[in-house]
Amino acid sequence: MSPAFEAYLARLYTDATERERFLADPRGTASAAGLPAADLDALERIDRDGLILASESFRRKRASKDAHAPSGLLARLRRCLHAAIRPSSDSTSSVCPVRHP
Amino acid sequence: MSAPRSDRFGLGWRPALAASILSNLDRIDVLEVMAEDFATPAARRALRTLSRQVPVVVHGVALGLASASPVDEKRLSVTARAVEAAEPDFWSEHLAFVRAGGTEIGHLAAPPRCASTIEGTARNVARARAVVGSAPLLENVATLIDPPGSDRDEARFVTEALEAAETDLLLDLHNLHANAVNFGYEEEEFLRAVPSERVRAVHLAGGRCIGVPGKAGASRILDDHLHDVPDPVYALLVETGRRFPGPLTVILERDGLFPPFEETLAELARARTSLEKGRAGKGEAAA
Repeated sequence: MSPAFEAYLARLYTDATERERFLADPRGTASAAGLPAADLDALERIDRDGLILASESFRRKRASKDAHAPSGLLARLRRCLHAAIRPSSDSTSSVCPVRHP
Repeated sequence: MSAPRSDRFGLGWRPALAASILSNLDRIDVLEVMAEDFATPAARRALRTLSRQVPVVVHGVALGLASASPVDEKRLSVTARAVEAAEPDFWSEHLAFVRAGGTEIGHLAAPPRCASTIEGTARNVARARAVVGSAPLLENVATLIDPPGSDRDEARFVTEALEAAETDLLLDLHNLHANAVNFGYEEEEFLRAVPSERVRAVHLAGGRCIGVPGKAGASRILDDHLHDVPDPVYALLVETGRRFPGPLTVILERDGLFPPFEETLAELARARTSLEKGRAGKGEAAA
């Protein structure tokens, strides 16, 4: 696949409006973005559930990074000290009960 | 860089764990630091100090090597300086793309598993080797979406990418488990396909199930690094020990919701036991 295909995937993963348009009309929307026929075929077969889940996961990651932007050594030491004084104990574990074909 | 001669077990270095890690170095063989955390001279001085106390390996999340587009030179330079400061046995990155066409995705996206991605990966790893001085181990990534544009399965893609890039594998067992559950294949198929001499390091982590919107009962595993390592991943570590005879560096990754540190050390101890069972040809009993 081409850099243009990757760029369109990046857009689908990050642009909710484009994603909604695409899910309503995958071939038409991707075609309007100028992708070649082979790319359109691949996008028409897209894992729609996966696209929604992955996009939401990426959105959360970006939001988390924005909230914890790199802030230098001093901030890291401050967080370290804070953690040493008040360690978190909130933990849960889960495993998917079934495999999905 | 030199290869370790025996199995090693360690943790991902996180600021929130620093005090606990430094007071328990007798139970930790190796630390894995994130390259992107050491972009400043002051941070790299701290890294040099740390690497004199305990063996350190360097891990990156920002290069996006598995791409048809060229690797970002500024980010590569940051990685090179972190590696220079840490003097690790190896460094590693992901078989993922993280940006394209000027858009930052914000995390690791599974690339199209196809020939052009493999060719792009080989070019980017060659460039990384030239700038950093050594090639990264490449890590298999977890994905919630079956990567669009793929024409081969994950095992074949990873194997061919390693061969084309002439480098080795950081085998993330939770990523493998998550993808196998999410997309319906057996983890052992993947382990059988990977060349045994190319497996150098292992990641362990935990995740959680997330529901598929609008589809009652359907779920997928999200590799969020916020939960304990699940039993199936320890079972895969036993199998890893059985199949891959070379010395392995095993890193436990945890990014938040940190439990009391003794629980983290207990997970590390269970990892040692699991790999040793595999080395001895034994099975994994449930915890």
